[in-house]
Amino acid sequence: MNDVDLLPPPPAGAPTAAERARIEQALRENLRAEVRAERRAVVRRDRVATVAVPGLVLACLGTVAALVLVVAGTPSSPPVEAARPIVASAPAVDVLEAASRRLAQTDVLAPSADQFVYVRSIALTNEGAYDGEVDLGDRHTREIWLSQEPGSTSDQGLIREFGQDWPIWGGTGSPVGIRRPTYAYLASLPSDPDALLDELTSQLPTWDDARSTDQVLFDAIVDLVSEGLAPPDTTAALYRALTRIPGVEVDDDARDLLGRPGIGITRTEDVFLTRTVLIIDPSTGETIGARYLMSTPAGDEVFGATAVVARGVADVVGRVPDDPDEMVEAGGRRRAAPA
Amino acid sequence: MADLSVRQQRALLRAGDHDVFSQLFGAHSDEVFAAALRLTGSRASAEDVTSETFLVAWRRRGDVEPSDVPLRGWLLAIAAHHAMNVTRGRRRRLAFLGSDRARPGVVADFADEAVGRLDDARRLERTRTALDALTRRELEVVSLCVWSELSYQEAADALGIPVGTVRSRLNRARERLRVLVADPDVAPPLSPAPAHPHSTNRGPR
Repeated sequence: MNDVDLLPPPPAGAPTAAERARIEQALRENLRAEVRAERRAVVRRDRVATVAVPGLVLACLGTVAALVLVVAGTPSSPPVEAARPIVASAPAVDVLEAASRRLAQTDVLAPSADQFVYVRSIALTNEGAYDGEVDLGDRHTREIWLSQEPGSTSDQGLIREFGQDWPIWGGTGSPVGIRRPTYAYLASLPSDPDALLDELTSQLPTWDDARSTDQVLFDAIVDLVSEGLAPPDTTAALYRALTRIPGVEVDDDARDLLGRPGIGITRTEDVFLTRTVLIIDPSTGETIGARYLMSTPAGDEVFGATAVVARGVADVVGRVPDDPDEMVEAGGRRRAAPA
Repeated sequence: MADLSVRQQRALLRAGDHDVFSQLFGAHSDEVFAAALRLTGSRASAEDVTSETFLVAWRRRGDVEPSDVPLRGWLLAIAAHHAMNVTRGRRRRLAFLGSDRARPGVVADFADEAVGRLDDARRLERTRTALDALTRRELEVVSLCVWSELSYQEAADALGIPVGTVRSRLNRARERLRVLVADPDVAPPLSPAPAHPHSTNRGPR
């Protein structure tokens, strides 16, 4: 019998950086569940709650031991209305719920604060003149590196497209949030669909946008899950949030830009008659792309599309990671989903 | 934030203030880990106990009373409780398998600095063996007062018992170990029967 656990520990009792990280991770997950349960209990009890749902941001590992809690919403939150009901079409709900469950079985390697989220897509962009006809250019490769800096920063990453590098520069500096989502920020989002939609709404300026709030939210979620890296739990929560937005339906045209099979989740904007489609691979629950269309008398016209082909974590901006998660095998065939 | 008085910290924590909670974590998670490690002898268990301790602290924030006693003791008491739960299960299993850890050998009083002169592994092994001889209540005060260096008052506040009880438990712990030092052949019982000191809750003494 050799129970290694019972060997006397070395005298130094401080946790290693990896141990600290695991402790914070476990605590964060448990706290989230705890607060959700508390919040449900409060709402059930008296329908008026001022409990704020804390998000947890993992501070820069190895330098700061403090677990930083970020409160979603203001301390004096207004009373919570009844929870948003599920209003998406039944087929859309089925697809999104199934994708969420499938995602629970996947694993994503989290970047550290000094790394970059890397996403490579094949893209079709409207290169026609503004207010003129849509002129879809050729398919081209688009790569993006996203800074994971947790503080406010103007140096936010890089886009490599059309044969050029375009630094993403945020002027006076942008804090982490919906407009500059880092992996850690996405991990901190509440998993309760209501709280999640409240958080997104609070960060998106809908007052100067002719689109309805619902479309703004839908499009924001499409952006977050298509060109970014998030913990599977967060992507699942975002899918579930979509089921609470009215007008969300399944799109019949079930192939992405590269012809890979998927399921489309879509919403049509009433004012501009534009339609965004989120394309999900049902075997993994992952988002594999998006399509943007306009309604015209002649039918729907595509004015943009992306197909995600790789996601990963890069150590250096502008350098492709050694082993990104490739979603397309050589020759364009879809990689088989893990068993 | 660091300028908050203990009284203010307690009030804020009780009210569910997230900043104060995260400050507490930042200030004390390392020593909670160390305390759990000493009690469980396992780094993996110490990790579990540490995150569990702060989760429990959040859940029980409403129990925090107004006072000037630092919250550190409260956290360490929660940690000790959970760490001893971990080892209790393990000890029972070990005893059942007929572990030969009964003999303490020559054990110096852990409060005696002479203990530090033995090489680390042997010292800890012997300390752990000696600890097997203590009751759960005695081990609790040893962990808080001797290892984590809480004052009697802080430990009493954290455990919700009178200061006098803390003293008497600590004295009893020391006496038990002196007995072991005097007669190295005295082996602490390790049977899984109810007479096992760790499975018996004899109540406050």
